[in-house]
Amino acid sequence: MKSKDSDGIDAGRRRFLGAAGAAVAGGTAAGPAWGGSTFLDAMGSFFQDHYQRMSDEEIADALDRIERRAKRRYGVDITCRDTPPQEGVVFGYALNISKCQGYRDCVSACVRENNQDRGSQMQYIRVLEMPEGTRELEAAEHYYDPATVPVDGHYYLPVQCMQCDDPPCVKACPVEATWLEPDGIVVVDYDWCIGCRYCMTACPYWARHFNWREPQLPPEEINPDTNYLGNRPRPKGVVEKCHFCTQRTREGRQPACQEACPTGARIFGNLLDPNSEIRYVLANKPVFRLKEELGTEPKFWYFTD
Amino acid sequence: MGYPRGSRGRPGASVTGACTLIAVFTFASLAAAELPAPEDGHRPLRGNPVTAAPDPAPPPPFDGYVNAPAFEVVPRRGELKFFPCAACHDQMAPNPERRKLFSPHPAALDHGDGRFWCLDCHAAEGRNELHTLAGERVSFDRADRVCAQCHYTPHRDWAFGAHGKRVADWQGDRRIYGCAHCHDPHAPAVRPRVPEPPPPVRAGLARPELEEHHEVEGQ
Ligand code: HEC
Ligand code: HEC
Ligand code: HEC
Ligand code: HEC
Repeated sequence: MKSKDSDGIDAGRRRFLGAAGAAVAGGTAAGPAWGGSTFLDAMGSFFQDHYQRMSDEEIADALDRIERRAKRRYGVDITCRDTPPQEGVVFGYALNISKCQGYRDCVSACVRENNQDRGSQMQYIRVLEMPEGTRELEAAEHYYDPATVPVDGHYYLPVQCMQCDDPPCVKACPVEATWLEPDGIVVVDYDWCIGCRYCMTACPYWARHFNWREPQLPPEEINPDTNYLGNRPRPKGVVEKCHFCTQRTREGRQPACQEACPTGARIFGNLLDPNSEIRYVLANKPVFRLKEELGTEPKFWYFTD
Repeated sequence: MGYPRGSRGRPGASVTGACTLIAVFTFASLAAAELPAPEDGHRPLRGNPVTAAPDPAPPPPFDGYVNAPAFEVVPRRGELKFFPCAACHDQMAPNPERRKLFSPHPAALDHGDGRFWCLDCHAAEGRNELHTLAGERVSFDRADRVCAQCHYTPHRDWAFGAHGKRVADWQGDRRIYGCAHCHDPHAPAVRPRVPEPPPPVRAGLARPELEEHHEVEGQ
């Protein structure tokens, strides 16, 4: 949950911020502390606090800045919200590897939904083509490009962020820019991330990706429905990852990959709801998780019919 | 190897189970020894009296699995090219003969290895509907009832959400696609398809092995 207490290492910084903000804004009580100009936005971003420490007004200012920056950069009007997690919900995912045909529809839907850079390897989902009879990830090929899939003798294993319940990436982050939300999603504050990439080395699932450039995408393809911890346009030089489409799932919608999958292999839902589809799968199907022996407790299961 | 905490089937469980069973058996045999012998040689069935004769009425029609979460099926009738069927078929006598059909319909049935034919699913009289082998009428919107007769496991999984797909929302009213959304009933196998393009290779990094790999596969 967002804690709004300002004790701790940054109290001094915030006091300074408040004073400076008031000075720049000319002491007006109403309106954003940092006005709408490019310069003030840059200043505002520079002094922006950690997500969990921002007050409601500060978050609102940050969201406005994100919207203005997108307008300046892409010429597109987006809305950026800060959707809170729902009470009594912990998300989980189950993927049926006997249904997955390796179409990669989930990958392209994810790229579009989450405003990912086109043309670089920034893709949150990686579909591994595996030789049948092994779970040896070294044998996987994810650049497969045959005329038609599935290829005989292979099965497909889509890998994305497992939203571990004991996430090693979170422990590795030196600045606490990534953490586990109450609904079980591991999120990144892209404005707090310093781009050190420790989390990438800590992650056993190659789920985190470093963006070497600011996401570049045609303006007409921008998804304007964005979220602070989700698919908002990211700055350059930060680590990105799957966030179970917070902008959708926290509002009750399915994640984009589930919606795109034509086979029904992807099953998403609330682990705390005993009547949910995912609970049926966990109780009735043979399930496994990747690299379970590492003890990271992924909330992403694979199963077969 | 670490196993998930709290997984089912822990080693201790079976031992406890066995002990419980032994205890129950011992108790049961003791109890049986103390019961007086009944006059007709049979002990009464406590609380489970058998009805005199089987109920002659037909069994109630199937209306879902116990404890399956409620759902609504996305309708199919609007998707059908030839609906309403009665527009033509009211003028024609049904023809149950197996033959190669000419247009407008599928010429062949690639389903069931020749075990059944059109009118096992399509009602002969009143072509606007399907029917089950028991004669129950089924709307095209609930074609799953027809499929369920022969495909129990996928149908059950479908009702509980492990087969097929839920539409739009994970929360709130559950809407799911019917079987025919994904499987053409006249050729239900899932056919191979062109995949979406592979991830681009990072600028400056070629993957020559990949090209070779594909030439070998004849791309
Ligand atoms: C445009 C007119 C037309 C429409 C509309 C039409 N049919 Fe037919 N149908 C035919 C003709 C003509 C035949 C006979 C084809 C042959 O004998 O080769 C036929 C044959 C069939 C048969 C084979 C069994 C039999 O009685 O001959 C089935 C089953 C069938 N139709 C189902 C349907 C269903 C289901 C629909 C609605 C979704 C439908 N048809 C709509 C014209 C039509
Ligand atoms: C396994 C059951 C089954 C069998 C056997 C079967 N059908 Fe169908 N048929 C269906 C179902 C279910 C639909 C609805 C499909 C949908 O929702 O797209 C359908 C739809 C149709 C349609 C309408 C298609 C459209 O898009 O308008 C026609 C025509 C048709 N069937 C003809 C036939 C003919 C001819 C045969 C025999 C060669 C046959 N069917 C055999 C189950 C069956
Ligand atoms: C009268 C029994 C019967 C009914 C009704 C029936 N099927 Fe089948 N189905 C079979 C049999 C038998 C097979 C296996 C033979 C084969 O592969 O064609 C089969 C195979 C299949 C397969 C696997 C095909 C493959 O090769 O992978 C699918 C999918 C399927 N059916 C879907 C459906 C759907 C959807 C319906 C409802 C519209 C349906 N079936 C209704 C008997 C039935
Ligand atoms: C969202 C799409 C979708 C829906 C809806 C769906 N299926 Fe399937 N079904 C699949 C896919 C994908 C496969 C896997 C095919 C493969 O392995 O090649 C499959 C496999 C099957 C098979 C063959 C494999 C097996 O498990 O024996 C049957 C039979 C089948 N489905 C029946 C049904 C029936 C009956 C329904 C409706 C109650 C249904 N399906 C609804 C996508 C769907």
